[in-house]
Amino acid sequence: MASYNYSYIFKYIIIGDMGVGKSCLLHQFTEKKFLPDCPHTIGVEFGTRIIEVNGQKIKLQIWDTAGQERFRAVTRSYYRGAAGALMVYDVTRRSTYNHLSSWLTDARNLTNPNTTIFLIGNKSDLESQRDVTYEEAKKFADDNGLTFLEASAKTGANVEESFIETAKTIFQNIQNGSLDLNAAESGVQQKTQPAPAVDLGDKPAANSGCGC
Amino acid sequence: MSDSQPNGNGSDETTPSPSIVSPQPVVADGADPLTHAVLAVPPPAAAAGTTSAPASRPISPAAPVSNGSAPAAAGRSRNAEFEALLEAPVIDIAKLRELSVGGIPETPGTRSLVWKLLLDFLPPDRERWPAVLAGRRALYSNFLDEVIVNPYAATATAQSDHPLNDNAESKWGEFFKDNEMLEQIDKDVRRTLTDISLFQSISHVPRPTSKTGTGITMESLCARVDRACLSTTHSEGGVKKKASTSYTPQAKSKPVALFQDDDDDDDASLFGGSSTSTPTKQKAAKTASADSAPFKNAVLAALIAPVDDPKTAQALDALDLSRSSALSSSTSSLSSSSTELSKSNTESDLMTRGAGHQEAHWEVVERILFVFAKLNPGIAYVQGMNEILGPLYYIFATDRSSEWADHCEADAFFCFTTIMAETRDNFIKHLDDTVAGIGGSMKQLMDLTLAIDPVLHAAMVKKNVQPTFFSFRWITLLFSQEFKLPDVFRLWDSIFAHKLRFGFVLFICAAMIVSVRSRLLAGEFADCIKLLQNYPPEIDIRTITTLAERLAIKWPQFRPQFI
Ligand SMILES: Nc1nc2c(ncn2[C@@H]2O[C@H](COP(=O)(O)OP(=O)(O)O)[C@@H](O)[C@H]2O)c(=O)[nH]1
Ligand SMILES: [Mg+2]
Repeated sequence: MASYNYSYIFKYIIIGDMGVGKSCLLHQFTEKKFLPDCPHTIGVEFGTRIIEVNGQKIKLQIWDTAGQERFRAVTRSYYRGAAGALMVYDVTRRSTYNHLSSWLTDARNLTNPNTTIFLIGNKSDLESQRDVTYEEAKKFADDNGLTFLEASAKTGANVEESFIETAKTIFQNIQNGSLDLNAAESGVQQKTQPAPAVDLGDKPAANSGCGC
Repeated sequence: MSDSQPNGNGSDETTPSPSIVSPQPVVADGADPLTHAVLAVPPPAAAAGTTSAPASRPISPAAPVSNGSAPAAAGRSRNAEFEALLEAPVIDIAKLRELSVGGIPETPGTRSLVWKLLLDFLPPDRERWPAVLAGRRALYSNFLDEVIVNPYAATATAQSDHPLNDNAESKWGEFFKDNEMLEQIDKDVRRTLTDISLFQSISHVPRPTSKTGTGITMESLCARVDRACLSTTHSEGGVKKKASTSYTPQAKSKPVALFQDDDDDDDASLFGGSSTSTPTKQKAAKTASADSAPFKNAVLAALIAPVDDPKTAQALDALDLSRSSALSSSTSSLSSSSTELSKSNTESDLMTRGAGHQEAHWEVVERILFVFAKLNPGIAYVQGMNEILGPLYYIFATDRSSEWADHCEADAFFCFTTIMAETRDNFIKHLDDTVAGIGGSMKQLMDLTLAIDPVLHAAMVKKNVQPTFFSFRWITLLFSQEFKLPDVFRLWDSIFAHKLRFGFVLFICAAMIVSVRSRLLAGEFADCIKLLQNYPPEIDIRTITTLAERLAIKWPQFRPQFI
């Protein structure tokens, strides 16, 4: 058996307009620090962190993409094979919220149908500058079948939750068979054993403590 | 090493051809009324030898020599070689390139001067410098006037034009679009090289004044961004648009039909449409563009032409006088102030944004990028440009001689334009998947890696370590985010001076990959990506440049002219 200290790799992408805080969210999640002056992202950046979901160690491989339109063609190639997509807007800038439908279209068209899309309204610490209400974003999320949280890369509020909730959903999808690990671009790799030929329930690790 | 390079097609490589790369001022060298108004460059006679020459001497023999890398003795003789070269009445550019490939001395002002020569901003003939500098700097202030002072006036009086007009031709439409772009630029420049205090500190050059009208101080762009953010919530989709009531585009006396092709994002016409419209880097196209001015658009024709016009010359004269008085009154050197200014001190002052005559260096950078974007709507502004302009501006602004430093804005603009003219294909989206575009460059990189080291290449392919994952940023930003700033300078010396110029970038990339070979072979996917996205600082930059040079000689088929 391989000596990996995790059982799965989940691939994530973070998308959304430039300046909404994608890189800060990634940094807060992987380093637990707020980096207010991080340079803008050119192309893609990459981070990893191992988390635990239902007793399973999962390595998240997170691609942080550049938001500027110029880079869309390049960043689009990262969508393929993503198990999770974090779609981010800035609660203090309505234009970033208005662009969500185009980000969503991209995400839907370019990922596989089972990709879990999670909506994050970032910069929730800037309450006084709020330009998008929680309620309308919640409605948008519900209408489009997305899970939604407001978060702050600065304070760290809801950052862990967003990444981990997404992983839980993906894990559930594996458990209930709706995410086929054998599919070429599921965005999930299993590390403990060679790719499973049969159903996932056979994996000793895979079904511990999941009653759903 | 360099004599093994074939030079068949290389006429534009050994001789600087400024006409390809940056807008040529049409100031006649001889009869230029502005020549003596420019303090920046001493007349050639003064440059020829005396140590007592004023600070305008680009290289002073009396200057303390701080030589970073080479052994002291060799360093001194290298420095002497540079010095001798640069003091010649007509500088031997081929020789200068040859020397600079190995790094430009750290003696004060040397890199600032040599880059200006290598980037075709200064002609080799020193006698022409005063005229060329005067012309280019005047041209730049023309640009400022056209782009910042009076841009949106053409239809301001037309009844049909109003803030809610969605018509793309509308000056209001352009105004809103510009504000969006400015907002992007503004965000990015604040993050340019934040570890370097220079950009947060106050520039000793006062904010430029408008030369038309009454010489009012030019509007601060970041203040405009603030105003725009407060008063409008404008979005491309037009979902919600509150009209700005607090800001009215200034009326302008003469209508100028500038920038009509603003909307065509993919048309890089200002750089000479012939070569950009072809999806491949063809020799023919290159040659063709060599004899046409790069900005052969009507816009520039309109902007350049008036310089010859006596009326404009008068205006320019007045401008330069006002400048030179300001210049002589500010004697303190910028480099010392920039290091002394404490951040807390500057932040509170400067974040109160754009009042009065003082401005921070990042505001100057913002202005250069905005002017560039407006003059080149086919490329406009792409994130990352600030990372290319940043180091360039830094070198020019910290020039020990204030006669150079005080003009760093205009000088950096033109040198930046040269770099962009030569690397623009990386920034044009529709070329991404072509041989000329960034996609082509990245494929080239993997092909070269395969040629150099098939085992390493196979391992990278097997692990799915694709070039887009790391080399996109390397190539588009010319490594400015990969190394510490002094190493970036050192690397750029080699690139600017190299016969292959930006074609050398590919070999540097390959050298970087090969230099971490064992770690790439050992690591798994995530290790490899992290390694390449955070290039290990312990690898000496000279190892990389030396290896890159060897690779360029060994694999000539990967030089750009063969592709
Ligand atoms: N107040 C606040 N500022 C944030 C937060 N997240 C990011 N920022 C700021 O927003 C700007 C853009 O962040 P960045 O992560 O680079 O955005 P990206 O372009 O989406 O990657 C930076 O100046 C950050 O300091 C947040 O949660 N709260
Ligand atoms: Mg980012």
